[in-house]
Amino acid sequence: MKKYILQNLFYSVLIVFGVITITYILTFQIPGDPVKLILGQRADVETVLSVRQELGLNDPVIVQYANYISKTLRLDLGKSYVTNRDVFKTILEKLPATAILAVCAMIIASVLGILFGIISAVKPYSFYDYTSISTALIGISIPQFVLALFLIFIFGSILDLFPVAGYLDNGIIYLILPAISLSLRPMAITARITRTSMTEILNKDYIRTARAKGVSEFSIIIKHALRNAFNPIITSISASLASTLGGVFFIEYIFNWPGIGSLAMDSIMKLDFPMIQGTILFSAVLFVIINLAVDIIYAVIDPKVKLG
Amino acid sequence: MNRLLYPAIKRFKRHKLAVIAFYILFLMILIAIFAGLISPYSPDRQILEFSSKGLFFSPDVIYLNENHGTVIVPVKKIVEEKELSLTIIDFTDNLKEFNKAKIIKDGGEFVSRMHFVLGTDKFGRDILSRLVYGTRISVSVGVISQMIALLIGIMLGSIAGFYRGSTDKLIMWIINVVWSFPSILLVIAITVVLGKGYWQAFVAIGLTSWIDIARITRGQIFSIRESEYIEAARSLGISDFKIIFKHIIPNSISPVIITSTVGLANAVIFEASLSFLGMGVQPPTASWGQMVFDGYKYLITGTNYNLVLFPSIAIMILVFSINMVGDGLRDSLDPKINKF
Repeated sequence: MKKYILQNLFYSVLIVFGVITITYILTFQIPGDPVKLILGQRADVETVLSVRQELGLNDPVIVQYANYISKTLRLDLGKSYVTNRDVFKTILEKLPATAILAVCAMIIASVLGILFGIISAVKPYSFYDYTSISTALIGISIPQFVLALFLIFIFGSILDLFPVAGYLDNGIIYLILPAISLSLRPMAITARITRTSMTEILNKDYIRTARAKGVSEFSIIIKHALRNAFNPIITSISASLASTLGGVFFIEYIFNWPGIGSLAMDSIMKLDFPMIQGTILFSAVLFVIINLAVDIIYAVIDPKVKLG
Repeated sequence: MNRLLYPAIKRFKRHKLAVIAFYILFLMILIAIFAGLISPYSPDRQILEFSSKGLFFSPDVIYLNENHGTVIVPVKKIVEEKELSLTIIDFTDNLKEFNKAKIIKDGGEFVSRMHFVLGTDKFGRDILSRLVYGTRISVSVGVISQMIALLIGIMLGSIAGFYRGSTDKLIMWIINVVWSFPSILLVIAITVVLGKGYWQAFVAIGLTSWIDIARITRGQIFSIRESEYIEAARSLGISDFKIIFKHIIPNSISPVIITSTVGLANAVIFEASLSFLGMGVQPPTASWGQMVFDGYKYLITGTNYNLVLFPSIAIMILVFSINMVGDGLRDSLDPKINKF
């Protein structure tokens, strides 16, 4: 077990190294002179030269790259060109808002997704089944920003039930629309996987045996079937974390939610490169860590996972 | 090939929704190709007097033949018709007189009528025409970016699966690294690097969506590589390149096709999202995501909601059809998988 965790940890470190490299290449290759972005187009030559020196832009690429890695490992992601604040600190400040939104969305998505999936699998080709299949298909087909706009239109403008933009400071009601918009896609994917996986298990011989023994239907579904159908469901939930992290950017932007997503969008609009670099790097590393955690949890609850 | 294809088509036809979706998709591709013939007006022509009008807006206009081309003059009311000239009140309530010789007649009448079936946007452009031209962007970005993704994905996937060992480890590392980035953010970052625009959107989306294809190809090749006919081909001295491209890939292609339909649907969503942020195709070229963004401000104030509604529905129909066709393909190409 220890060996398995260590191995995974080592591999994750390798991945993080790759992530840092790609982020570096992407931001290093960005057209335009960062010095001009900081100082404005009309800065005098001397200031430009001194700032270039300060940022290390005169060094050879390989030295800049090495410096970048060592800085990143010390969690020094530079300062924002726009606000001149420390990038890492700014991101950490915005993290709780994003975490609350993403976790709420994932909880809604997992609970409802599994529930709809089970109902569909237990009563196949029924009214419930068709309703949840079509909801799932719509959920997969609708871009998150379009869904968010529809929800704003229906619940915000027409029915006037929920506020359309703002943060928790003003009450928990502000969380509802963004969380729902973010959860529909992972919910749809989870429901589909649950249905497929449960249908397969419910046709197995041991389920028939359990039925023949007179085990109650509820206990068959929850204890016998769901536990065995759980593997692909967990995989799909952890995989849809990626799309949730991606969706956060749009949802936060549209609902004006003060998280990392809004920060990233804002810095992209303003071409604030250290901030763009920081948010991309941060979300990718966060994703690697989440995956590592999922792998380890997987190994703990499922003895079938090959260790070592 | 026909012997294999025929039952697959038969199975596909059993999936009614997939067949309907296939026809819708086919229609959309036709619309994309023949956008110039189908759209009632030019998608870029602005008539500021007709700004933000609702459904079935049909104003009267006069087409004037000026030196630099045809000019459209909106007409509110005809005041007086003389032998040589026509006096009208235009949309800014000014009296104007025109020489009849300069007016292009429409069926014997001096005043023609325009029809904006889906209304107009804030610049007075025809929404229907813009939707029709937007199909071109969505379909082409989807198809071309998936081609890039297929090319990279199949190549890396088959190399990893065929050679295994350290080559496989290296390629899997690349795959896992790219996979760690939230894909939409990576797409945005690449467009920031390459600059905004049409081709950049293709490349950015293509460069991020090859991962699933590479994974699937690798998995397929891992298993096919062990089969006896590959061993036979090897012992006959056929080159690795030929074995991969002539014997392995054709036998592992159906899961790859199914995966790429999912990728296609995602690419359409990505393109719309990019345009929504103003980072995709640049104005005045019409694209659905950008139309949604243009209408977004009106939606909040609760006025002209059709600006958002129609492009959104168009995106949904396209993505939904692609997903349904993908489902149908899954059922027909891989009969082992249960329905749905």
